[in-house]
Amino acid sequence: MIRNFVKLLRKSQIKRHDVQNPAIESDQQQMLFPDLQQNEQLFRSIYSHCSDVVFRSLVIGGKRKALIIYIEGLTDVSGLDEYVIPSLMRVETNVPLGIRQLIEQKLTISNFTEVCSFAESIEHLSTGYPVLLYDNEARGFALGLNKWEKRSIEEPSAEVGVRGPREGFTETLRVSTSQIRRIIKSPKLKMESMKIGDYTQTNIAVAYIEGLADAGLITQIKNRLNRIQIDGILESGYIEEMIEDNPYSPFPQLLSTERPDVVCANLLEGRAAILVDGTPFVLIAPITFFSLMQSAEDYYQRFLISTVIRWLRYAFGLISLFLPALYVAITTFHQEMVPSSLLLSMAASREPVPFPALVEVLIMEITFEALREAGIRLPKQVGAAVSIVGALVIGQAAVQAGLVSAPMLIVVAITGIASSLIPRYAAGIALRMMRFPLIFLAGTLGLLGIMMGIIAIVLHLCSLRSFGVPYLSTVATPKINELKDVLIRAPLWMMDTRPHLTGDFNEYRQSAGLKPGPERDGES
Amino acid sequence: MSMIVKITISLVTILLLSGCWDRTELNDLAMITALAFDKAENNQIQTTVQISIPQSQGGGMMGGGSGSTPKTVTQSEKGYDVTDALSKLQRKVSRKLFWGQCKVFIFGEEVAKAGIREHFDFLLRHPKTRERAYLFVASGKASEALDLSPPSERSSAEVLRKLTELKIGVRVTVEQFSMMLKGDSQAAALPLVNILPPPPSASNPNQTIPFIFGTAVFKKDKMVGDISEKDTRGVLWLKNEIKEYTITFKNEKGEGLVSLNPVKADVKLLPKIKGDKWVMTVKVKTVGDIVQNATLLNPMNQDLLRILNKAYVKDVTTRIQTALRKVQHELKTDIFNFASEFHRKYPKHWERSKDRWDEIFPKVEVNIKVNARILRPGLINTPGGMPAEETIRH
Amino acid sequence: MEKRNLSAFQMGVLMYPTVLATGFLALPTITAQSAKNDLWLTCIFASFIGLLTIYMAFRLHELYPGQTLVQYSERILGKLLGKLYIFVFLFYILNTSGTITRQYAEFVKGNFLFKTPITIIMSFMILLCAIAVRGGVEMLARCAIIFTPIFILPLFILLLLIPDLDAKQIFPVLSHGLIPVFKGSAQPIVWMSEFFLISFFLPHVSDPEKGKKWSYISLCSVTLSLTYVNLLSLFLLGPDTGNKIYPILVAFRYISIGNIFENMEALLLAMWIVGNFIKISAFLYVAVHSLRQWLHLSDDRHITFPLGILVVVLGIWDLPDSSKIGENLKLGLILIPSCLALIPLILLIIAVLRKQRTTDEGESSL
Repeated sequence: MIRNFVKLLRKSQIKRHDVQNPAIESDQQQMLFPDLQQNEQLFRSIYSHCSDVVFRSLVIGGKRKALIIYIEGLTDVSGLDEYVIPSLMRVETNVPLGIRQLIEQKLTISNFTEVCSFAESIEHLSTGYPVLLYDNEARGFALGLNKWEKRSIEEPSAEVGVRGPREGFTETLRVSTSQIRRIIKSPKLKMESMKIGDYTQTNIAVAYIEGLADAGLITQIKNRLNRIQIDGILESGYIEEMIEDNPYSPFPQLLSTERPDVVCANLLEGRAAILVDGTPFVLIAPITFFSLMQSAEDYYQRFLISTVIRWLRYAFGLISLFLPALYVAITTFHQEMVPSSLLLSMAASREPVPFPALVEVLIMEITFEALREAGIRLPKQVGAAVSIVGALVIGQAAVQAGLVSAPMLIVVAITGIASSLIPRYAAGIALRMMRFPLIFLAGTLGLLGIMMGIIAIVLHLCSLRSFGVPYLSTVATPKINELKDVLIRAPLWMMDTRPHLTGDFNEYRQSAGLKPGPERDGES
Repeated sequence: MSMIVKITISLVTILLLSGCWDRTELNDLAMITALAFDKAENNQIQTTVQISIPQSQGGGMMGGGSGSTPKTVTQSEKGYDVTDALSKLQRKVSRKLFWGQCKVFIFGEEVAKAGIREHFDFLLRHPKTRERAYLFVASGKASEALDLSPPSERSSAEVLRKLTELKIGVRVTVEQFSMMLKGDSQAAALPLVNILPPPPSASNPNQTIPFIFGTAVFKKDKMVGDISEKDTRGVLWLKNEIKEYTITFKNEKGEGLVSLNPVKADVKLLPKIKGDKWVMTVKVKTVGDIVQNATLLNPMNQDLLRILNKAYVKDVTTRIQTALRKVQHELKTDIFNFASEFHRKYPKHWERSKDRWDEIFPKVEVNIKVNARILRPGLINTPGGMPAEETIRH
Repeated sequence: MEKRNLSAFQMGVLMYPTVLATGFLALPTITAQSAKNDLWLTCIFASFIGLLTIYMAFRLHELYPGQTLVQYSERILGKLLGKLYIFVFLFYILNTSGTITRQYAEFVKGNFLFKTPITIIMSFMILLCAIAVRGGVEMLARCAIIFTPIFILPLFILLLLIPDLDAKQIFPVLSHGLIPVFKGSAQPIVWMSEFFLISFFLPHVSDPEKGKKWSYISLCSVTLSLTYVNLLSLFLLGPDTGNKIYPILVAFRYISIGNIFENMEALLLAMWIVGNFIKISAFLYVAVHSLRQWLHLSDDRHITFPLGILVVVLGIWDLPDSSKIGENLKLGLILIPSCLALIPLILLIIAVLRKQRTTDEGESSL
């Protein structure tokens, strides 16, 4: 009987789609013709109605015909103008060179690749490489002259800190990988690339440090990436949702960051990074819950300060989750916990309010969330005004109109501030979202309800895995060596082991006994 | 996983649909600050509750009530027992009675003399009444103390609570009273509440406070007598409850009073049974600082200080003896808990004689040994307000 | 063969709330009624039985590595008798789980949520426990590690009562002799013999050599905590301790620091719920796995929720009021230690004798 009930509830079936309009036609698979005319015709038909594809025909050495195809806007046209076309046109007439020797001897460019099929040519064309086709040659050459307009390296807006590098990734994959390479210079830093997305053919790079990252982990990541079959990858968020262990959970199982130093720190601990062309946000796997509560700046400040700030962050993380629910539970079920003078003033301020505490809290919380989201969308000048002034004025007016009570407003304000303390937006949003079921539970069952909610959340967190690493691994299966980075921020000279993720790991990252002090160096 | 999610969601909606059972909004509560028990006719008990009104107490925006608006409201009702009376009382109060902040329970004198066992059971058994609330006995009717609106505090119950916490009298919580009655001595002492006469300038005769004056003595659960304020002080010494106290005593040799404050005392009760004789030695160790010296003696001088110390000792001994005279010999009730001391030291003896404790207690010989020292003379040495030559220096 | 992914430390931590969750509430008053002011000694005496049960669990595990009580009782007692014993054991476990859930719900309902139906309180808890049990033993252990500190926290908050405690209540020590103390130890023995549940977790422990150490540490902390709570209740309530139904609740209600931190019993409720969650989950886990191994089922996920519902039913059936629970506990004085301590002892003796015989025969046949 339960099985029937379950079947009624469950509706998901794996659907198989017929691919109606494949992104790449089958006739593009074929090889280039030796005849230039045929090649040109087929290219023109493939790129019909594409006004930004330019076909430049030339004659080399007065005799052989050649064709350069490029996409305007993606190609370095000045490079073509200065290096390719002049050097080709100045080739002497009577030198019988094959196209390869021609390019090797005469073309003054730094990079070129041979292409033999239409599909390959299209692939290179779409990344901005002009393709040089030669008459009577069944192969072409893609010249390494791609250049397009891109954003310059700026400070990441979502992860600001007081101390630390201010560079962020950009949308171009090569620039991002170059930023990582600048920090980790060892040749053991491997970057395996693949293309995902039928129409977008987005470049994805998986970066890891060989010897530190578990080989099984990398294989698992690559398998999951290869499994994806989708129209297009526009942002790393698509990849994240496709390769997660637990898609229904509100908690993120991959970390997304804009900062190269964060990525490199995680690579050095044995994790892998997934870089996606077209977005500055890089994914890091595998993570634990505590990676979400750490910020890069923790490690740049001194350890006492960082420890205190970390505790503050944990405390306020809990506050952002529990405070409204606690307020509802205590004022409706356990009023005796409130000291009597506070109780009297709270009762007095709630006299004019028509709603029960539960409804009041829900109204204010939803309004506050709306204000926050609005503050993000509005342009910068207006946005700041709306969030601060809006909150204050609306709150004050609501209290005076008798819609909400003043203590409730303080609760909501503190909760709002508390949720801004969490460094990762995804984790902050997850905690904020879970506030609402907790408020409902608190309103129906009081503190019992809140505890049930806590138990349910912890149960969920205990069952989460991120690429095989249990989500709460450092605390739930306690490892003393790792606890010193979770509970406090141990001084740098004490953190000499790496965290153990899965599989084998390279244990030591620095030598022991690095504690500084004047007695070490022989000073008195 | 998705099945579990769906089941949980449906459970949650079921919860919400059926409503929340225990929810009471803050504004649907009547905050009781004190409860008074009085005797009514036909063997009934009259309960009076003092309810705090939030509107006139309220937050800064409401504008606080001035002295003329009452800050509390009292209601009373009769019933066959306390619970009956309270349930009838709920009919007269528009909000649900809320006991979480009720810290004062007052028994009227008549009720106390008749025996408070059944009413006390309510205080212990009901899950909502606080065990840390203070118990009092009123001389006269208890409900009078609740009708007052004190000028400086929120309610008269608050006044009583704060006065008790100043530790000037006996402090007994519900739990301590229960322990006293269940313990070996089966006797207890509760502070006695009187009403301060209002100053003539007050507009309303109710603008005054209840205050603590004296102690009521209970044997089992009935009040057998009361002690004056003077004797109460001696009782406090014996119960080792002197924490911050003022003593004024007369100097032996001459005129003038000396006052000491703060006085700290450590009292140990040492029991001894010699054959048929039960002896209790009261060892008092007390220290104090001088705050007022009306004698001509200079306390910075060691010999003169010794004189003052002797007077101090004599005063303490006299206090304790007066208290003993009243409680041990007149009222014959062991409110000092000598019984536990004997029990702890001589368990076998105690087992044999515990039924005869009522006879033994008045015959217990009490030796008082006081070690009193005056530590500091305050800010000045020679007595102030007179020329130095007239003071006695040695 | 079960997967070995529990660490010995996790198992030790798991046992702490499993034994103590209801122990804190019920034990001080029961022992105070028999032993009066010597109640703090009762737990120390009862802990010897705890030592015995841990020793038995480990010895049986050594003799039959990787197997739980269900599997090796069949081998020791023979198929029929073994299955019969496990049937009784299963029934005992389910009944006890029901009583524990009922005790927990009674505490919540009688003191905090007066009007909420008790079935809702019990069902909600069982739902969460069933989800935890479905996740397997490692989920249970991880939750235990996270929740046990929350469970221990009230013990430290109780230290705020120090100004109100009177240490002289402990005298006269042993004035009535040791007999009342032994009588009082009968109840804690019931709780201490629950340590035998270790035998169900041992097949999953990855380092069994350290398991012994952590189990003994767990037993010591349980004994210490119980003695501490007993002493605290004694110092605070004196001769009144046996009169209260939940002395530790009264202790919490008595805390008052500067007129601000008063009336903290709701915190006790909050912290106690998580302890009970672990306890009920542990018992439910034992029940589910016993049933599964008894019937040789391949997967336990289908029987978890039905057994949960059965536990709720058993918590309501035949327990019409609170005093019946107390009476049942007195009956449990006989049933529980025998199931968890006596019969395993018999099993151990038989197993050791058998081993002796086979080694003797093996040697003699050489």
